[in-house]
Amino acid sequence: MFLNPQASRVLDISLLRQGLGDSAIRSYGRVDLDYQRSEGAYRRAQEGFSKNRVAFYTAGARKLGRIGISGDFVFDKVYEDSLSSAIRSDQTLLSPFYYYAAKAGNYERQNYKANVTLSYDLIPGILMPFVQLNYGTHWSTGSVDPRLDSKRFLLKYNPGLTYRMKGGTAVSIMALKGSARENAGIAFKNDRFATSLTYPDRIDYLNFGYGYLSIRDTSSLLKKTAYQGGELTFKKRIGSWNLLSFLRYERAKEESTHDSKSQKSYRIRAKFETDEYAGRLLFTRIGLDRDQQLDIHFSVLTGQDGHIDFSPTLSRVNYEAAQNTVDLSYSLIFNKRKRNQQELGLGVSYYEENRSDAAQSTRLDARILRLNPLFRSYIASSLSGMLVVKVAPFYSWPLQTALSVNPNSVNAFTRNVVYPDYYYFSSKVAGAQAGLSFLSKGLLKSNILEFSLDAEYSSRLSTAAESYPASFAPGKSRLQTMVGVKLLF
Amino acid sequence: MKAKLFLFISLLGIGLSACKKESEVTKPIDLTLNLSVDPAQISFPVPYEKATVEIINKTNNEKYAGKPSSNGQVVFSGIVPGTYSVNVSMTLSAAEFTELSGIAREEDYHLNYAIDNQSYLENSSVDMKLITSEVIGGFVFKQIYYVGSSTKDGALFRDLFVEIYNNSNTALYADSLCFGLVLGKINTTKTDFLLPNLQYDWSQSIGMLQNGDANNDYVYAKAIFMIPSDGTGRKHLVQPGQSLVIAGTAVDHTKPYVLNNGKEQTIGNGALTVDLSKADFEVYLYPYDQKVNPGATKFASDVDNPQVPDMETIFATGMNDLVMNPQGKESYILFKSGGKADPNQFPKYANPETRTITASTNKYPQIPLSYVVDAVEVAASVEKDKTARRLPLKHDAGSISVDGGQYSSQSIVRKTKTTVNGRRILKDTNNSTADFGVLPKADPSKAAASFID
Repeated sequence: MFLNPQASRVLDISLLRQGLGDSAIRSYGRVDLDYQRSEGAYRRAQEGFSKNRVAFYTAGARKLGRIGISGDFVFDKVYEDSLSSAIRSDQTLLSPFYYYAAKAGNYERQNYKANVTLSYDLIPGILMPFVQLNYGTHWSTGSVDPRLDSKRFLLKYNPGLTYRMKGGTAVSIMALKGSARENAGIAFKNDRFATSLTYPDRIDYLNFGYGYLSIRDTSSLLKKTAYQGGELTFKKRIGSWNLLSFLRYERAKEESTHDSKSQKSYRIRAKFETDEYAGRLLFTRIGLDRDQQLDIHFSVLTGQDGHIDFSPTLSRVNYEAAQNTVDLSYSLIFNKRKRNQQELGLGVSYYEENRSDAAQSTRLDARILRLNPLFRSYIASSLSGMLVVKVAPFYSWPLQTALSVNPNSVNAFTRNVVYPDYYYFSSKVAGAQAGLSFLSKGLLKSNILEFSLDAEYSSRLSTAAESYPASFAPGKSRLQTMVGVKLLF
Repeated sequence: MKAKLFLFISLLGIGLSACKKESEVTKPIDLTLNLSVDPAQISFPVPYEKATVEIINKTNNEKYAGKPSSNGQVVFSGIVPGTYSVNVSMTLSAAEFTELSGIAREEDYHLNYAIDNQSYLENSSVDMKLITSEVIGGFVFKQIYYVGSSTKDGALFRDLFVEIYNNSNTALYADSLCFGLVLGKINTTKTDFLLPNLQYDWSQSIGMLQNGDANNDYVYAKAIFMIPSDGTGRKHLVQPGQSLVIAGTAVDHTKPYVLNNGKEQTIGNGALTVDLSKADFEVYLYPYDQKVNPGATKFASDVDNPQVPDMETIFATGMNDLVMNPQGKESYILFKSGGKADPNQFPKYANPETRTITASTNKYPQIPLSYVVDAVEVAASVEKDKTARRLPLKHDAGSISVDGGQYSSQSIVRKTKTTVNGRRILKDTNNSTADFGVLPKADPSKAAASFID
């Protein structure tokens, strides 16, 4: 059997969620090697003109008697070019307290991330305690003054329990707990840039919110984040449909300081707390002639800060941010009994982002809707394989884009980030995704090998009429491409 | 089962939401500045709407301009709570002044005000009494090159100079004209014996004589250099629109030269520095060093160019060559020696933080501001690095800095107000913020390129 996108989604949601996995599968493995590139002037202010990513991903699961082990590992290397106004890692993008300078530069990033789950069938087929570990290290570095060096380490340990019932129903509950630590700093090779105001784009600031900046504040900072939360998963067969679902809540409490790590106690300058609710309902119906899948995915992420400049106890909020998404997609694979199959689908995505910096009197609210019909054709080939062709046009338009700025608090960040973001979110965009992949069972004995080529082209059709004095405006288009090879065993 | 599951998920959601508490939100503030004048000094209705008002946010160095109403009120609404500096300047032409006051006048009339590092954390209304100060005219600073050039490829502090300009319409003798470096506290650390603005409270200096206001009637010098005279007071005539360049070391810094220790002073990039070999005067500290410290050896960079007359060092401390603070932590004055104004006789005081006087304690000459003919308050490039001002508002209601920071090769240059019959008249409103600009590279040539129009 080939792993079509519907089956891939089932595996993806199940891999790290004990209650959702198929207990009948004793062994599963997968290795991916991908190269991705995106390039174009249609981008947000804090997004590079081009980005190249090479990623190695592997995932697997195995049962050894009563013990189960599953997990995944990713190593990637990312190169970004012409990225400005965001001298930071790309791990916590809503978080404030990062270096800011208008100068566009090159960035190199590297991730090692591993997730491992160990489980034990305490009461075989019924009760299964487990523990999951999430490990990650991240490194970001810049090569243009002011140049960044950031290292982040994350560890979460999540104990849980799965209860399986008759008829394939299963419920799991898992606690989330962990911490992360990031050390970041900037340096200059050219001393002139470090002290002069004659190169405005080289002036380094600390950004404490959505524009509340401090010029030449500190050359190093430390962020410590504590995570806690929980996840509930639920699996059930409802009629001829299989439901896989989860609901997850996570609170992250980040504390930032510029104090040296050798100090006995830190003076916390700012905190940022986020609450994230995420959930997914994946309904799959496998039939003799047609497969159907309905995927409903949502995420609600809100955060607010506390800064010592406004309250010694950090109790007064200045920066608030929210990022909410809802994705609905339906797909139908038909003509399964025929040599060639087809898939039709429709995706509807809702994206909402709110940023507010109270002291700066700056607020941006954006809501975007995107429609994404899909056609995919599966063409059997003579090499015990299959050629898959995908075409998916899309159109997105703003439901709301509102910007409020006080002229008496406009600063470099407003001109370089806030105004461009406003233009980005107020754009109407059309484009298309296209994909070509070849899956083979014949090239490697009993294993599936997949070669894929994907592309997405976005073209900005129009944007808002307001003429804010932005120093940068999103351009006309952006192209993303991906080449990958995947091995399933 | 479905009902139980639904109930469980609902309770989980409600429970998690309940953990979130409502927080107080920061609010932007309104800052209202109320401009006024002392009615005892100014009896005519002041057209406040002509004033230029600028506030600078100390945290991010952004500047915001406001325009006052005719009653002198200017409101900056919705600004970020924080620390600000304020600068107000207004110039009335002679005709406007005459029309408003009924008093005939030939020169422009200036009203100024400035205040640094004021914390405004909630809606605030601040009264600002504008200060008028009559411009003395005559000699003024045209150019001050205090930051030096690149520490790696330039000349560091060896190429410093000042340029003094005859801004009057008559020829003036520069004999006994003194150039002084004004001392001030170089950090913002709170200690005892300071004024509220964190500048030294000189009235608390040990042994301070009660002779006027120690903080507002005097400044205290780190160094004083005097243009020599032959006793007639008529040796160095400066025509209107002409200037004198006083170099730290009057050599061509764009090329290698030999130091006092016999070693060659190389230069990495001559374009970063200047040729001071044609300076009118130079500071040569060695004779003074020998006087205060007999047997002192020559400082390597204090090279004497015998072709250029030496300034007479009246007083200098903390330097073996002319060194001006490149971070903008000193101010500069001009005064004429003669009569009662004998800089060798000025009383000297230790800074007020010094509570025990010994033979080695540094004491600084107290210069009466009534003798000062020009003064320039220099500040740090970045607002948050500013230290407390050293000059009273009456003598300079603003401040100026290069924007390139220390060792940037930049100089501050007084702007040209107008040109009459080929003679440039430089802007002098007693507000350096308005009067000065920045030259990307210091220029001692006296040529047109050394002016800012």
